[in-house]
Formats: sequence, structure tokens, C-alpha cells
Amino acid sequence: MSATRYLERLRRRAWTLLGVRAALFGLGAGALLFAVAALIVGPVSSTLGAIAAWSTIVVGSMAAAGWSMRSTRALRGSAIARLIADIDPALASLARSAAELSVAPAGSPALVAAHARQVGVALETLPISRVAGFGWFKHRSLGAAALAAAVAIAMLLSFDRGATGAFALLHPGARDAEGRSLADVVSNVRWRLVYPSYMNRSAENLTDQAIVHAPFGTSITLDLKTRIAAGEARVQIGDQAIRLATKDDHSFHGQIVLRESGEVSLRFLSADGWLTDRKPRSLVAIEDQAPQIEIVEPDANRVIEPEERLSVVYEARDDVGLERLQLVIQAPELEEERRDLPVEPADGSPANGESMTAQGSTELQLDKLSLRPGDRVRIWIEASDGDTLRGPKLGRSVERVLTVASEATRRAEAIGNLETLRDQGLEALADRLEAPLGTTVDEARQRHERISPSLSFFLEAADKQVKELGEDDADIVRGLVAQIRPAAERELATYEMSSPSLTKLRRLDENIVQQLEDGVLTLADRLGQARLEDAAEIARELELLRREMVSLLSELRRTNSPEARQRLLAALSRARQRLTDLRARLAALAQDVPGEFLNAEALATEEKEAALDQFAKALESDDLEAAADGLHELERELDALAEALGNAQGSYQEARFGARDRALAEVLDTLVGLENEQRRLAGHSDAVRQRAARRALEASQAKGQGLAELSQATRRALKTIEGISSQPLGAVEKETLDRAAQRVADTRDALASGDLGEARRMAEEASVALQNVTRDLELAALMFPGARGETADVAARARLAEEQVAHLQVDLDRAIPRLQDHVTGDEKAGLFKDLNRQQRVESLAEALQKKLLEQGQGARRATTAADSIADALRAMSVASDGLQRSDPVQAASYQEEAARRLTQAREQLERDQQSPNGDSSGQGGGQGKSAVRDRRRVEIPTAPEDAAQPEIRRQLLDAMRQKAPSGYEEAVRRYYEELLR
Amino acid sequence: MKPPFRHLPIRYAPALFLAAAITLPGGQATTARALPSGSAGRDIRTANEAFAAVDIEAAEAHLDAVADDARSDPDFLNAEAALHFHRGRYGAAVSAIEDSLAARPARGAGDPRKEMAQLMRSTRDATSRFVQQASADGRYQVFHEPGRDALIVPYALEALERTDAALYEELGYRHPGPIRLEIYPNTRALAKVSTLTEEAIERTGTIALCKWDRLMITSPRALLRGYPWIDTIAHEYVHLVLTRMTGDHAPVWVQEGLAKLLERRWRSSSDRAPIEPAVESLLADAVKRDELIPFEKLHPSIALLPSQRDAALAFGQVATFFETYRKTQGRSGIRALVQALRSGSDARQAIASIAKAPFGKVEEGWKTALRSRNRVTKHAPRLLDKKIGDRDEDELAAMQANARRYVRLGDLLWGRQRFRAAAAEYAKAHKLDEDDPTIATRLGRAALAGGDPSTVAATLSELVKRYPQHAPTRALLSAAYWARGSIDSARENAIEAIRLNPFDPRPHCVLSHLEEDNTLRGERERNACLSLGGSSDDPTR
Repeated sequence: MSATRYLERLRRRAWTLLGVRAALFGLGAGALLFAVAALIVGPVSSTLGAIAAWSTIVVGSMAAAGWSMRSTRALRGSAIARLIADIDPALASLARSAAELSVAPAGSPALVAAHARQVGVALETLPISRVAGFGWFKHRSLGAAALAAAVAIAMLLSFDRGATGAFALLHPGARDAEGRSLADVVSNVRWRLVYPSYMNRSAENLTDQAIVHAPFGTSITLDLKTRIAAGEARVQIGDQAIRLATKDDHSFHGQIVLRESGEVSLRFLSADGWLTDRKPRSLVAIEDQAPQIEIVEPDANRVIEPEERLSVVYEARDDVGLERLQLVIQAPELEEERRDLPVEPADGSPANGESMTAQGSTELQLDKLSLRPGDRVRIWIEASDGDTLRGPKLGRSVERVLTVASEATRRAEAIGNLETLRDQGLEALADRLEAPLGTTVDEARQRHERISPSLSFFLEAADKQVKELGEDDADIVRGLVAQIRPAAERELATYEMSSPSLTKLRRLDENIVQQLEDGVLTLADRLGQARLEDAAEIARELELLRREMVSLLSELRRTNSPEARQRLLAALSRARQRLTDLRARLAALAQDVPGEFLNAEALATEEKEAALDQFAKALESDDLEAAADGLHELERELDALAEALGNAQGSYQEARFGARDRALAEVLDTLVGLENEQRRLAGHSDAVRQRAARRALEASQAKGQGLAELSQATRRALKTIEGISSQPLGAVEKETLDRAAQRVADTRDALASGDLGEARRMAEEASVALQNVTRDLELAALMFPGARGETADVAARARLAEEQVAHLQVDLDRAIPRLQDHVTGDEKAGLFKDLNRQQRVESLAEALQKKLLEQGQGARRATTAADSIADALRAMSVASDGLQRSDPVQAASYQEEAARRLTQAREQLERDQQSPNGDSSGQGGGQGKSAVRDRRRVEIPTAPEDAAQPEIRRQLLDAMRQKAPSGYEEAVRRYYEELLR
Repeated sequence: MKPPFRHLPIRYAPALFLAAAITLPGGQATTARALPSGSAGRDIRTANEAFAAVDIEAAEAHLDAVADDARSDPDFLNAEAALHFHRGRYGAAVSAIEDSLAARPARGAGDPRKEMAQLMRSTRDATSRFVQQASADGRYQVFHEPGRDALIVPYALEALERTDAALYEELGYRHPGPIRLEIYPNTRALAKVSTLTEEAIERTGTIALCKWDRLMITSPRALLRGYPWIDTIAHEYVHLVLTRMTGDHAPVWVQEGLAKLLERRWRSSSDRAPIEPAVESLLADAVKRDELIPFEKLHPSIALLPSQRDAALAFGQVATFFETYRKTQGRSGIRALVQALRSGSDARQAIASIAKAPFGKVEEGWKTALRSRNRVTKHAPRLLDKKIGDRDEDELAAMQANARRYVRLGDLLWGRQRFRAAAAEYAKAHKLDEDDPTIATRLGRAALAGGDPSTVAATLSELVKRYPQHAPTRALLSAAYWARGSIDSARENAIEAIRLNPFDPRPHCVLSHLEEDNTLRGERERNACLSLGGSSDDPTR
């Protein structure tokens, strides 16, 4: 680098450093001048004053800076080289000469150049920053500047007038939106908040708050002091302007009631005119919030039992304070009931004045609400606060709907269970379908680990559902589990082998997939059918309600009483509810039952709703004729609905269960044939027995062993039983005693017809009954013999009767001859001939049992029916033995038993056929089920018409003596009818 | 007898509606008993004759010429009502015919004004909410209910414009315009404006009509899987042109044959009649067994044939007859036939005259061509029924029992969003009945949702050749090809799918990806995709 160039760079750097130093010095001076000016000017500055102040500041600052630059003469020309002298005086001299020679060369140019080169080389070793460095800032002028700035800041911060003056100088001519000058006028503001009395909160003081939050209606007192003298002060809040009272020319006072939020503007009339305080302030009016209430219990809509006492637990809170809490109840026969609830603070202490929470519980006695199964009760809690300014705020909890348990809710639950199970089955199936078995056993094992939990879950859920589902649905599920579980266990066992075959694993997997597919489809079919049945049931309930409404409408016409109207409205409310239920059910139906089975038009609910609306409107306008028309229209619609649902049920049943039904019908046909054949065989044997018995009797009479004594003993026993007072007897004892009396009477009748065998059996049954009743009565007599020993007396009589019957049994045993000895040769041949027929029945029954077990797939009814056939087979075997030995008693007795067991099996299957998927069992009701009611005339079999059924006849007569519970007469009657069929 | 409605049955079911159709009041205004005397009477009579020949412009000119003092005459009012009706001014038509009836009440069966008034009222009521969209030059006007049907209007306008041009090239005739297309939301509305009963429409499968100088179609959203609605518009347009060109003298079999032959001329240069593979098989079989239906049996309506098979066969016959005719006689032969029909010639005689051979020989030539056209296949595609409504239970009910079982399982799994498992079950059903497009598309849908577009393409690519008009197959294929990056195939299938069922979002979503973002078409497809609930991000969804 040449010396000239070096010196030029040095000059530039020196100028820069000196310039910065001068500027800083000028700023320090300016700051001091600004502070002084602010103190002089104060909060309010005139424009002229501001100009003068700023002029002084600027001039002063510049002068200071200029003074600071005074030493820059030394930087001009070659004199700059002097700066080097402080480090290297010789070099400074050389550099200066080189610089001068470069401007005015003198002497040999070569020498000049050589000199310049030499100086350049020497200068290269000396960095410019060393010559002119930041050390130059360690100058006393900068110390002075810093001191001046510090003094200025202290002045501005220490003196209020300084700070306000600074604002005035910095914002000359600043104005608010309405053109008033802005100034730092207010030195101090104090807010006193007096809250509305209903809030019960103590007053509060705030000082110099920029934003004040206060509840609506709060009274706010404002005290403020100004820096300048003002003749008048005003406060503007939104559109509201208030003139403040003057204490002195620096103190003002005023009061406002907070009605709206807004900016607060403080305005003052000073000697310079109206001024607005520059600080932004605002008031925020807090609106009173409505109370919030939560029903903690019940935490969701739920099903309730009619007699349940429901605990309603609640929590309420309000920002102001709770004044009133009410539980509101709506039920069909209840317009709207409101119950006051205690307002108790949650923590047991009084309200703290800012907000309040309350909690508590109340009990709802549902049996007081005249509820019927299926009714909906709506409850909610309302709370009001104590806002007296704008009126109490009302809060309302979420509504809870309580549905009274009914057949419909139970059906819905069962359907939900079925649906859940179907979905779990689908998940298990999907897991298998979505994961390929793999190509190695290891892959298959890993897959099995992944997919087996869903299958286990399904099977566990199925086990659980078996306990919760209705009898028939449980039967279906049991059947599925019986198929799938063994397959799953086989698969698991195969995986646990050390080296299973992949082919076998694949086969097992395919088997389980198929089982799951079958299971899922069976559940889906059943679900569809259950939904159809459910919808049909609701439609029937709706029809019953319609009939009730027709009847109530007639009553209203007759009496025109408010009670009749009220009841009619309650029925209408129920009908509406059922219709809502029906709509929901039909919507769900469409998901599970394909449209091909549904007549969408007939199943639409709009027309039914319209009919109910028409009825409601007519009732409201007192047009009872139109109301009747509405009900008539509803009837038409419900008829169409019932027909559509009936058709849907029929076609769905046929499509989904037709094959199964046909198989069942085949089994039933075979069973009926076997049953009839077995009865015929029993009839033959019994006829032989009766003839042999007559001959035996004749033979015994010939031996002088008449029946007169036996008849007399029977009558004695009967008289003893009839003489037992029924007063101290309980219902069970009385029933047992009645049965004993009937059996003794039967013994008498059998003796009268010469049937000693039958008489023996009846006497035995009478003896068992008497033993039971005697034991019970003697026990009772030990503990409670009665005031006059009535119970003990009755027990003694019962004991006597028991003994008499026991003797009678012994006498009968002695009187009965060996019938086999009285069977003729022809009769023996006939019995032997029947043996072949009996064996054929036996073999067919065995095949049927096997078929049933295969078809039933573990279903409970099929299994039970198969068990009954097994019992029949055992009886047939003994009967065959009797036939072989020409023993008509054994043959007839066991043939009858076999026939009875076959009947039992048939009845099981018939029930299965009538309600193959659980439409009746465990579901109560029964009236109007979808299965067509059997209209055959029912007669109690009498002895002459069917001598083979005396036992059924007796059992039936016994049972029919019992009085059916009130309201169940029809159901009991139908039950007997079914038994008889 | 003049042909009844030109209509396109969507299924070729036996129909009894024709009796009703034949007895409908004609398009022309009926002449009352005593026309006004003088030139007014002549003008009205001439106007009525022009209506009968579907020369609406001439009829209008004659009515305009009627002097003011004769304009309150019931016959003039009746003719004026007919003019308004043909022009789509239904409110004015009702007023005019009611004025006519007020001036001279209808007496007896010979005066059909009462029935006409009822039809006009029904039409006015059925179209009262309609909105109009027209081409830029106003020549093509589409009327529809506000709402979703607006979506198909741009496609309809494009088809009308291109069909117009194609038919001008083919037949040398240009409708003076404006050309009015009405889209009805359902078959009930179509019944109202046609006086056919809803039951008759349902039974015969009538989905579109051409009468009173306008085109009437049912919205494809009224059918479960849509229908070839855009070809139907073109088909009806051919009827409209032929009716005008022949003065409504073309017999039904000529009308249907030419309409079928030319319905795709706007988008295809192929000389072959667009016959479905199922109908091709029927034709081949009928030729082999010599069971073709004589043309005289097609009169007065194909829809009156005793079975769906016969109706389909008849459509195939007439279409292929004119395909052969056009091949031998060329475009000029078609034009000459139309000209001859206009002059009142019998169609058979006209054809014989143009071909310079007895009609029987022409017919033989067609049969020969038919024999070489297709061979009888062992497994012919089935004729697909078009379903009105939005439920597919009938299709399920028609499935094989075993296949149906797996389809039910698939549906249940689909409902639980186990798509791959659902696909596995549908695949089992498909294996049992590989030719059932309903099963195949369910499989395709589940496979696509399960992220397996290859299965979709493998399953449906052959099936679509057998059932080219099965909209779900087209839509799924478009998405599957898109997912596999086969852009041309995706585009082709998406376009075809829209031509069958424009209310399926999937093909629109596919096209929205294939079209440029800033183009009108791209924007249209994107909007359609979104408005129909599709996923513009992933058309396979």
C-alpha cells in the first residue's frame, strides 16, 4: 500500500470517529436542553412555545457538536501523518514527506518513488485501527454528554412536570377525535366501585386503572386530580357525558352508574381551552350470567322401573348468587310439576359474594306419577339468580328423559344386545378375512396371535349374552357358540403343536370363517326379525292407545269434564311418544331388513302423525267430531301399518327361516306320527290290561275278596281329609291337601270301575301329598300350635288321614291279583304282535332324536326335545320288555310314559315353530302376537273320550281350580288351551 | 295412423299404455266445428294443418295473419293455445284455451279441448318452478328444476349443439330453433306432462319423450344407476328432426331405427348402430333360430311387444336394419327416404324404390348382414333392468341365493368400514356369478376403498365390455385407472360414467384431476365433485 493511500484511509477513519463523537456530544447537550425545556413548558404547550423550545434544543445540540469537531483541522493534507507520531514519530515524518512529495515531487523521481515504496512498506506494518481506534471515544466530551443525558433523564423522571412537558414537546398539536388538544392533564384518578346490592359485595377502590371491569349497574365514583388548573371537568363514557363537581381547580369528583361498556374520556377546560387527557381509559360492564346447572345423577337418559325411587343429584352455580332452584317434571298425566329445591352452598358456607355454587339431591318417587310402562318422564332443573336490576336470569339444565321400563324397552335392550353381538362377530370375521394366512407356519402363527383376540372376545360376549338374552335368542347364540368354540379350540390346539401342517391350518381357518359367516348371518336374520316384531308390537301398543282414546273421547263427549280431557291429553301424549318410538324403530328396521320385505309407503309414519295432529287440533278447538275423524283416520293408517308389518314378518320369516321351518315341520310330522302310533300301542296294551284286570277282579271276587272294604276304607280316608279345617292352613298346604283329597276321590272312582291298578296309583299319589302336608303341619304346630291348639289339631288329623291312606295302599296291594295270569292266549299273541310295532317306533324315534340333535346345533329347545325323546326311548325299551313278557301293566304304563314324553318333545318343537326366534318366551304379554292364534275349539278331555289321558285330565283339573291373578285370566286360559292342544 | 309419442323405453317391457297414448289429444290444435268465415278461417285451418305437420313456424305465421276481429274466436284461441304450448309458454296456453272454452264450451268426445286444457294445466304446474339455462346464442334452451339438475345442463347443452351439427351433416336439416329440452325430476312429473299415467310409465319404462316440438327427459337422478341420458337427449333430438322433416309421417319403426342408428353420431363416427352386447346376442340368437320379429308387428309401438326380450330385439332389429340400409344406400338413401315419407309414401315402398329392389330383398340383405355381424355366444350378457328409485333391493333379490349370502356379508362388513374384508366376501359372491355387474361393482367398490385398485381393474375391465352401460362399473373403473396412473382409460371411463349417471361424484372427481386447473371444464368437474360429496383429493374415496 502506498503512503498516500494509507494516509487517505486514515483520514476517512479519523473523520468518522470524530463525527460520531461530536454527534454524541450534541445529543447529550440536546437531551439536557430538552429536559430543561420540558420543565419550563409543562403539560400544556403553545405552538410558539414548542417551536422556541425545539429551536433552542436543535441549535444548542448543533453548537455542542460543532465545538466537538474543532480539532478536525489537524486531519487536513499531510498533517494527518501527525497522528502516527504518537506511535512512531520517525515514520510519521517519513509518511508526511512521502505525502508531500507525491503532491509536489522534488528531486529524482526514482528516489521519490523509492522513498514512497519504503514508507509504504513501513506503514503496512502499522494497522490503521491502531492509529485511529475506538480509544478516541474515551474523551471527556463524551463523558460530559453522558452526564448531560443522565441529568436529563433524571429531570424527566423526577419531575412530573418534566414528563408531561416531554409529552407536550413530543406531541405538539396532538388532538383527539373531536379536535380537542391532548395533554397529560390528569395526575391521579381514583375509582370507587359500589356493586349492586343484590350481589352482596363490598365496595372496591382502584387507582389509576386503565381498564375497569365491573358488573352491570355498579355505581362508580370518580376522584381525579389535574396538573393544571381547570375551571371545569367532564367525563365522557360512550354516549354518556357527565360534568364533574369541582373541589378546587385541581380536584374534581363525580359519580356514574355503569350501564354500558365504553372508552372513558376525561376533558378539562383550561386557560388554553378544552383539553383531553391523553391516557386511554375504559370501563367494561360485565353482564350478569345465567345460572348453570348440571344434573349429575342420572348422568344420562335411562330406563327406570315404575316403582323406582330415583335420586336426582345436581350442581348449580352462578356468578351473582342463586336465588331459586326448581326441579321440573313432565309426564303424560302430569301437566308440569315444579318442585322447589333447597339452595345450599356447595361448601356449606354462605355465598362468598362473587359467585355461588349449590349442590344437592332430591328423590323422585315415580309411582306417584301415574306412569305406565313405556311412558317417558322428562326432568330438568331450572335456577334463577337475584339480579334485581335487569330481572332474574334463568338457567336450565340439560333435560333427562326417563323411560319407564316396559316390554318395549326390554325388547330394545335385547335388540341392542343382538346387534352388538352381530357386530362383534363381524369384527372377528373381518380380522380373519383381512389377514391372509401367510405362506409359512410362522406367519400363520403371528396372524393367529393377531386375530384370535377378536374371536375370543366374540365368544365371551356370546357366553355373556346367553345369560341376558331371551330364551330363544339365547338358544340361537348357544347354538352358534357350540359350533364355533370347538372349531376355535381345534385350531388353537393345532397351533400349539410343534410343527402343524399349513394345509390343515388353512382348512381350520376356512372352517372358522364359514362358521362365523353363518353365525353373523343368523344373528343378522334374527336381528331383522326382532326389529320387525318390535315394530309390530309398538304398532299394536299404538292401536291399543287409539282404542283408549276413542273410549276417552266418548267419555269426554258424555261428561265434558276437565278430568276426561286431561286423561285424553295424556293418552294423546302417550300415542305421540309411541309414534316417535315407532318412527325410530322403522328407521332402524330399514338398516337391518332389506327393502324387498318392506312396503315403504305403508310403513311411513307421516300419515299417522298427521292423523294425530288432526286429532290434537280438533281437541284443542273443541271439535269432537273432527277429533273422532282423526282417530278414524289413525285407525285406517294403523291397520295398513299392521298389515304391512305382518306381511313383512311373513315374507322375512319365509325368506330367512323358511328352510329351517320346513325341516322343523318334517321333524314335527314324524314326531306326531310316532306319538299317535305310541298312543295306539298304549291303548292296545291298556285295553288288554283292563280286560285282564276285570277277569282278575272276577276271579278275586269269586275268592270272596270283595271291594266293599276297600271302598269303605277309601271313603273313611276321604272323610278324614274333608274334616280337616282349612283355617290354619297356608296356601301351599291347602293346595296339597286339596290334591290329596282329589287323589283319594280318584281312588274311589277307580275302585268303582274295578280298576285296582289305577286305584293303587291314585292312593300312592294321595299318600305322598298327605305325607308332605302332614310334615309341614306338624312342623308348624311345633312352632305355632295356635291359641287353642288349632294347628296341632289339624296336624293330628292330617297324620290320621295319612295313616288311613297308607293302610289303604297296603290293602290294595293285597287285593291286586297278578294280571299276567289273567291274560288270554289271543291277547298274548296280540301283545307280541305289538312288540314289532313298538320296536319300529323305537327305531324311528332314535333316528329322529339324532336328526334333531344335528339340526338343532345345540339350541336349547331342540336339545330339550331330543332329551324328551331319549326319555321316551327308555320308556319304550321297558314297554317292549313288558310286551315280550305279556305284561300288559308294564307295557301300558311305559307306553303311556313314552307317548307322554313324545308329546312333550312335540310341544317343545311346536313352541319353537310358533316363535322360532323368541317372540314370546320371556317377553310377557302374549296378546296379539304375530303368530296366528289357534282358533280350534278347546275341550277338556273326558275319561270316556280318551281313556289314555286320565293323568293329563287330572292335572289339568287340579290346575284349573286355581284362580288366576287379576288381569291374567285371559292369559292363563290361553295357557290351558295350549296345554290341551 | 300417426305414431304416438316418440319415446325411449329404458326397459323394453310389454306395455299397454299405448292405447292411452294413441287417444291423447294430438300436438296440433283441433279444429272446432265451425271455423270463422273468410281469410281468418282459412288461416286458422292452415295453421292447424301446419301444427299437424309440426311446422310451428308456418302455423305461427298463419295465426299472425288473422285479423284482430277474429282473434276472440274460440278456434283462433284454441290454435293460439297450441302455438303457446309448442313454444313452451304454458301459462299463456292455459289462458288461451280457457278463453276458447269459455267462448264455446266443449261438447262431446269430438272436441278434445277440455283434455288439452288439462294437459296444458298439468304442464304449466309441473314446470312452474323450472329455471332456464341456454347456450350463448340462445338456440339451445334447457329447463329444469332448481337444484341438483343444474349440474347436467352444461353436458346437455354440449350434446345438443353437437347433435344438431351432426344431424345437419347427416340429414341436411336444421331445426329453426330454439330447441327446447325439459328435464323432469322424476317419472311422476313426466307422467303429468305427457298424460301417460305414472303406472304406465313405470311399467313401460318410458323415460323420455319427444312431442310438441320439445324434448322431454327424466333426470338421471330418478334412476338407481342413472341411464344413458345424454344419448337419450340425442335420440329424442333425432326424433324431433325426423318428425319435422317428414311432417310427422315416419312410422315408429323407421323413427326408432334411425334414432337409434344416429343417437351417437354426435360423438362417434362409427357406422355401426350402438347396440348393447346383450341385444347383439339376442339378435344373433334370433337370426340363428329364425325368430326375428316381422316389421309389421312393430306397429304401432315397440313398447307394445309382449316381452322385454322382444322389445329389446325389436330395437336391435330396426337399428341394424337402418345400419345395413345406410351402408348400401349411403347418406343420400336416408335423405331420400325421409323425403319420400314427407310426401306421404309408405316406408317399405319408399325403401324398395330407393334400393331399386323389392322390400323383401332389402330385408334379406339385412338378415344376411346380421348373420355375419355376431356369433351366438354361450354366455350372453343379461339384459339389465333400469331401476327407478334409489334402493337396490331388487338387484339383491335377483341374485343367486349363494352369491346373495356373500353379498349380504359383504354389505354388513362394508357398513362397519371393514373394506378389505367386505371385498373378500364380495369376491366369493363374484366367483359364484362372475357375470353379475352388481356383485362385481360391489367388489370393485370395496377393493378400491381397501386400497386395491388392481383388483378393480381386473374385475371390471372385462365386465365393462359386456355391460358398457352399467354406470357404477364405469365410475369405479375410472377411479381405479386413475389410481394406477392410466390416464386415458381413466378419462374415457369417467366421461362414459357421467354420460350414464352424472350424479355419481367419483367420475367428476377423477376428471377434476385430469383437467387443467384453470380451465372451465376443470372448474366444472371440481365443483361437481365437491357438490356431490366426493373427495377431490382422492377420487378413490
